[in-house]
Amino acid sequence: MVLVGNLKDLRLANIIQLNCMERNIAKVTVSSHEGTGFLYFAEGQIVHAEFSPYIGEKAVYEMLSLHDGQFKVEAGVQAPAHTIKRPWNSVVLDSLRELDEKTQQSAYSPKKISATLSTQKGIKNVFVLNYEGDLIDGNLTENINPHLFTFIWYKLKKVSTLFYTDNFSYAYLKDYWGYLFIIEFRASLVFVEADLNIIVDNFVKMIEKNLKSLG
Amino acid sequence: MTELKKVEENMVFQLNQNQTPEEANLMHLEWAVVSQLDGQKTVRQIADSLSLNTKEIEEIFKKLAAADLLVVVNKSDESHYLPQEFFKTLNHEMTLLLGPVATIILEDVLEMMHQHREGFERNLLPVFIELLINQIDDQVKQVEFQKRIYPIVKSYIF
Amino acid sequence: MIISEFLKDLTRIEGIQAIAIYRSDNSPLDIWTDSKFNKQILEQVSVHYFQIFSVLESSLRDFHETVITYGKGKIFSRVFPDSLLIIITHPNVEISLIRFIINVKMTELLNSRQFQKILKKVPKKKMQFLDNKYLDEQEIKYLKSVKT
Repeated sequence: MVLVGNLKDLRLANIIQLNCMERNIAKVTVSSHEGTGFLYFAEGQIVHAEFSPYIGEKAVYEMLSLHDGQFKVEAGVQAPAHTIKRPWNSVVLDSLRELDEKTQQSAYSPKKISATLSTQKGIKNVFVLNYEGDLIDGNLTENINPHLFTFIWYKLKKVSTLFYTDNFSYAYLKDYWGYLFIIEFRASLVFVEADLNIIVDNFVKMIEKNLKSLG
Repeated sequence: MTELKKVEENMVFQLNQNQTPEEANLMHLEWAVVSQLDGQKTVRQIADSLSLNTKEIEEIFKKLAAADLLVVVNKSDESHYLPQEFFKTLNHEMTLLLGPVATIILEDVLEMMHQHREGFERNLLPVFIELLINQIDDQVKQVEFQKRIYPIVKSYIF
Repeated sequence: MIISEFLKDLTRIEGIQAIAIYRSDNSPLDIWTDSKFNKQILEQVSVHYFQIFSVLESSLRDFHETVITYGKGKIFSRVFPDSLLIIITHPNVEISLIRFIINVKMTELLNSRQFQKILKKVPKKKMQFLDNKYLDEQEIKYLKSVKT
């Protein structure tokens, strides 16, 4: 059986998720102005990829960077090689993250984020990390290890991939004293510590509005 | 309509054809809301699409109503509100546990939510209860309070 | 089944898609889903949460709950001393309601004879969720930085 479509209607990341979650044996051909590539699936993983001159994970990365093109899914086609060993969601997440970092403009300064948010009601602290866990804005209170919370973000994102999405709108952790919100914004991770006297939906809208105002 | 006592999330409005918005001296966000008035979208849907919180959308709709720009399409159903009896029962349970400060806590939380006992929508009840519980410092009392009000709250939710 | 008995009120909320309780060695204790939910997801999701909460133990805060909100739904999780609870919902479900029900009903469940019997029935396996074999390269890198 062959399924065809346009990457504008169904993103490649979603095609990958579907084939992996369904544990299909399949070959996906991606055709665009920049070339033609192939992805092979088996046993719930991406096992091989080609996008000249690359093979393996680099080929997956290049195909995920395509903005348009056609795709064709052929069921039952075995991979000619096994060049990808890592779990599919790690490959996809790392590729998308790299693409994110590469395409972000520095038209805004992350150093404005904590200044903008810290004055808002209900917020106890704001800190901004890059994807490596380095602090780029705000203050770390002594009970915050940035790499620990970057790991948490990464894991929560991995959970999201099981639900056919590579992006969550927001996430939060809760204890008896408050919330810690995690919001992705322009290739950085915004962490907002809030007290318990907030209405979460309204609070998140306020944060999003403030972040949008940064341009 | 010139006076809007209460703006509820599920209300639907359309523009009053007999009035011109240009004369009402509207601000940017108010124009944005006017552009969404199609006689089908609820207040909540308009708020969500413009990323406005409860207080902001309520203020805008009240201003539009005061300028006679609104016609209500659906009337709200009384069963959307919590009866006064609920607040009396809740106050009683809280007072047994916390003493006379209970009434102050209850009013503080209502104010935090920009709500009143009259016209309090049922769908806000879980958030209201959670904010009330968060005002109780003692974790043992928190658990006790939740156990006591559980059957009461359940009867209004299910 | 313990979910139908103790968390019946949760199953009655419109928009709840799945509820799963796992023992602390990742073995599922009970699962409830609506008819459309893909149960396979529940087999894969829990290990990530055990890793999250294992790491959070070393933070100085006492985070015991997470919520993820994405376009088509919400994922709620809470850790208990001997178990993990995961709930999947549609986006319109109010988390405060879930929390309220859990705060009351999970205590009853965890203290019940049934639950204690289930825990004793099968010997608990020792699971090292943060062992490198369960982590990808990036996760190992993050955790290495946490320790230094």
